Amino acid sequence: MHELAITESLVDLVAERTVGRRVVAVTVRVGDASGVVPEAMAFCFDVVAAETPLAGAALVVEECAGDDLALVSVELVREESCA
Amino acid sequence: MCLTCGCGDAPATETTETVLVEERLLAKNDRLAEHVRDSLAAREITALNLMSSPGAGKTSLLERTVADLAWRHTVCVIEGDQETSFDADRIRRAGARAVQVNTGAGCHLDAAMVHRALHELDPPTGALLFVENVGNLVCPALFDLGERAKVVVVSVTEGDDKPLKYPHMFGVADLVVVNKTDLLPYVDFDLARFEEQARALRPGVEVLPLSVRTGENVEHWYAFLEDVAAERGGAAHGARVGT
Ligand SMILES: Nc1nc2c(ncn2[C@@H]2O[C@H](COP(=O)(O)OP(=O)(O)OP(=O)(O)O)[C@@H](O)[C@H]2O)c(=O)[nH]1
Ligand SMILES: [Mg+2]
Repeated sequence: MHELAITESLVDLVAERTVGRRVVAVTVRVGDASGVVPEAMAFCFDVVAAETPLAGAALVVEECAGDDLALVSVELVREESCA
Repeated sequence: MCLTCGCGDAPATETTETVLVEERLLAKNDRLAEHVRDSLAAREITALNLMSSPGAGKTSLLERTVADLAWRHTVCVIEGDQETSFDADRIRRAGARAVQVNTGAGCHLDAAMVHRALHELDPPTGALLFVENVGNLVCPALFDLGERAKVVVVSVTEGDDKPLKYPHMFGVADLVVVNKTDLLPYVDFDLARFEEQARALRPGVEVLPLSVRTGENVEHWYAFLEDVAAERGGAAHGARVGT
């Protein structure tokens, strides 16, 4: 199941971009010809994200036509949230 | 309680911000594959990625290739399997250098595995390098390994309907080898139907029926390798319509 390896690179990519900040949601774009099954990716995401700053984050999948397979955006908790 | 600093305030107003990223999910693999491709090109090494379902005859084809081409090429092989070093042992017995990569639970090779294996294999300048992927018609299709050409091998006992069932794999093929033609009299494999399906997914792709067992048509396989080595093949090879 290649979705596991692809989800691992997703989590790596997000971790690199957010360096330790708490992640609330991750949005990806998955094309219908990308070879990736969104349900399989969602299943892998919870497992791979556990025990990383992404733990508990929601995975939002935007399905589209074509072979696109991309990380779109990341929703983070604002750092000054504790007044 | 506030999760950030434990100050006791309710997180009722915890606000979030959205950061736009827009990066390909396989960006890391693809960057490493590009690095592999560049460093191989600098040493004039021709790399081919062989993919098929388990048992189509990838290792058999490579054993025969090593035996037939040793007089004019140094052949090196990276063997990918979940477990065992059976295939690397077979290649070494055939007379070529080989490194076995075991993927464990993994169902495909990625650029990082090939990169590591290359440090161990250290193919000489001008070598012909084959990467035998894990037997699987699904997952390996998505991972660029830094090869110059992707070869998909099927055997006639698998049935002629495989291209439409595994469109991603056939969609990336630079050459499709149909192996075990010596068994054609015993099965109902329709070569014309197969070719039509393969070309619907990869227009112009060369479909090459051969038998590793009897040697039928293997000279066309060697001609393809020479084309790729001379950079007439690979990505540009799709333009050369079948034999
Ligand atoms: N009849 C016949 N048998 C063949 C031919 N080529 C390979 N075989 C047999 O097919 C079986 C599988 O061949 P391998 O070369 O191990 O196949 P593979 O694709 O490397 O298999 P995996 O690495 O396990 O995915 C062996 O028993 C070979 O002897 C052929 O042209 N004709
Ligand atoms: Mg093999």
